[in-house]
Amino acid sequence: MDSSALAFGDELKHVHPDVWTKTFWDSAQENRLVACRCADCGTFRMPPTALCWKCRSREIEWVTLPGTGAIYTFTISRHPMAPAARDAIPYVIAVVSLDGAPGTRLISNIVGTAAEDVRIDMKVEVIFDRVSPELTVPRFRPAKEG
Amino acid sequence: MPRAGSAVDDGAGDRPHVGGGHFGGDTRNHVNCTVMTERTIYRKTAIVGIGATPYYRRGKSLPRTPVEMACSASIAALDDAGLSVDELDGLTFYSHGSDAALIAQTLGIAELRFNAGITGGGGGSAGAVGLAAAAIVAGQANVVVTLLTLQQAFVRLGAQYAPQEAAGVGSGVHTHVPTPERDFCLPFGLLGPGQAFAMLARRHMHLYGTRREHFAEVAISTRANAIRRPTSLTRGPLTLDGYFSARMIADPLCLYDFCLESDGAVAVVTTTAERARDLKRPPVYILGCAHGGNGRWGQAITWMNMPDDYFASSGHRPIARRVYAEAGVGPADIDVALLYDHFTPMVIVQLEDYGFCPIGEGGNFVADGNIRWGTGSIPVNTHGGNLSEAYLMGMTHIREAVEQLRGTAVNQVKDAELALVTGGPGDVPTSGMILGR
Repeated sequence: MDSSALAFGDELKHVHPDVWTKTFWDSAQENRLVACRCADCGTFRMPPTALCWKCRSREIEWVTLPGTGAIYTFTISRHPMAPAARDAIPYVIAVVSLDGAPGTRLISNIVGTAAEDVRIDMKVEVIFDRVSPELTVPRFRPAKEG
Repeated sequence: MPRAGSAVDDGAGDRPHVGGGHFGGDTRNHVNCTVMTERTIYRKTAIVGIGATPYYRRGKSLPRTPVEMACSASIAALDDAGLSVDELDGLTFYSHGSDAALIAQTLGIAELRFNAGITGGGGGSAGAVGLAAAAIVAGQANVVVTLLTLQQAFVRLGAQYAPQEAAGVGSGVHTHVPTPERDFCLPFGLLGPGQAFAMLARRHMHLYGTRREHFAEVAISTRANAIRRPTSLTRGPLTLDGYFSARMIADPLCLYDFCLESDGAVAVVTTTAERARDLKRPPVYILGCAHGGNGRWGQAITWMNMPDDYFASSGHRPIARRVYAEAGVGPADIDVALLYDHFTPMVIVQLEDYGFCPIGEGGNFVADGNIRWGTGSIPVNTHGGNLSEAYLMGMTHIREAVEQLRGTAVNQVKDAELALVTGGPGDVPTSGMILGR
């Protein structure tokens, strides 16, 4: 995982989960990528929220995803917007369409490849970046063939 | 490319198609039929005064304070109208807003009767004037100041998602404390709007073949407008070579795709159309104003789960539909467009969403010279915009619209009768307004 690590400052290594997002972060600690699905109408929603936007149900099923997806769009961040990113540039922020959770996307990073080689529609797979004992962040790398 | 005046599809899908290839003619009557006739602000109010502090580079307004700048701009705007604080009874805001209590107390407003603000960021600039108009039409207030004050000495909006502890930057309007929602941005190094809008721009490039040369044309044409204005913070021309040799910030956006970082205050005075006719300046009537947006546009750039149909847009399609309908005009009728330009690609997508060209054609539309002052079919940001004059979150756009319709603009569009002004593409609500003589 070291070759894929992003050198963000400690300010970016904390999350502040609420009752609706906690399962996502707890699952990442166990190397599982999960998505929030409405238990009543089956609509996926990400990031997790209190209500299903379609039927307003509060009942949630957590679905473990295959961890693959495709790059919907991305940017190569070449200038540190804050000191916490100074040692990490250049890095790729991407919006990833999640396989197994139709219609949802996750903001993440693309690692394990040169930024110049990243493309929209590129197939990617999750890796779990343990940035601290308390936090594991799901990032993505180009999927292996087949 | 000719001005297509194409239909605006707001993504709602199930709504009747308003206005076909052109929004003009009887659109307003069609939409505001019978029972709705009186429920419009159409031409019932007017902007009668504009006031501003000088525009400053970020941090250079010190030792002035935000409240002093706000009060100075307000007094200047009232004076421009031939009104005084004695008649001021309403304040409207957006984005950071201002502390109405502090302003009322400092200005010595006799009785504040109306105060409202639009949440979110720069999206509410035009809409905040709409709040004033709505209040006046409803009889809640008579003379309303809409105000924006910005001092970026201690808060830098370009890194507004960054945690406060990040060495003095960050903590913008949305982000005073860490939130569960922000957890889906910060651990990935998404720290400011520029990175997020770069991703919208990249999607637009992917779908429609939009190129950096198109972004460059927005930056260069806007700069050409700015350098003729004494108020402008940038005075040198921008060339294509200059654009392409600038440092990349968030690829595909380089330095010149980003707006300036500025300080200052701008105030706008709105009152009834009747009163406006007796004041110092020719009235600039509010023909229509809308704020809001689709719920599924939502937080937009910090959650990135907007529907695929209009992901690579400005979020303005519902606003465009409503504002044209209320004003009873269409894109072909607009003489000058003051489009919120925090990032160059967002000008291109607004040109599409407001129907100046078909969806996906915005890049070629600007490349064909359509937004140039003096020669283009729809001059855009004749004041130099957020990109090159000053970034005061869209209030300079309202100022320019008023000057254009008074016929006093530095880069005057000949015989301008109708101006479109928009708030910043971003999270809901955003806004738009059509002003006329």
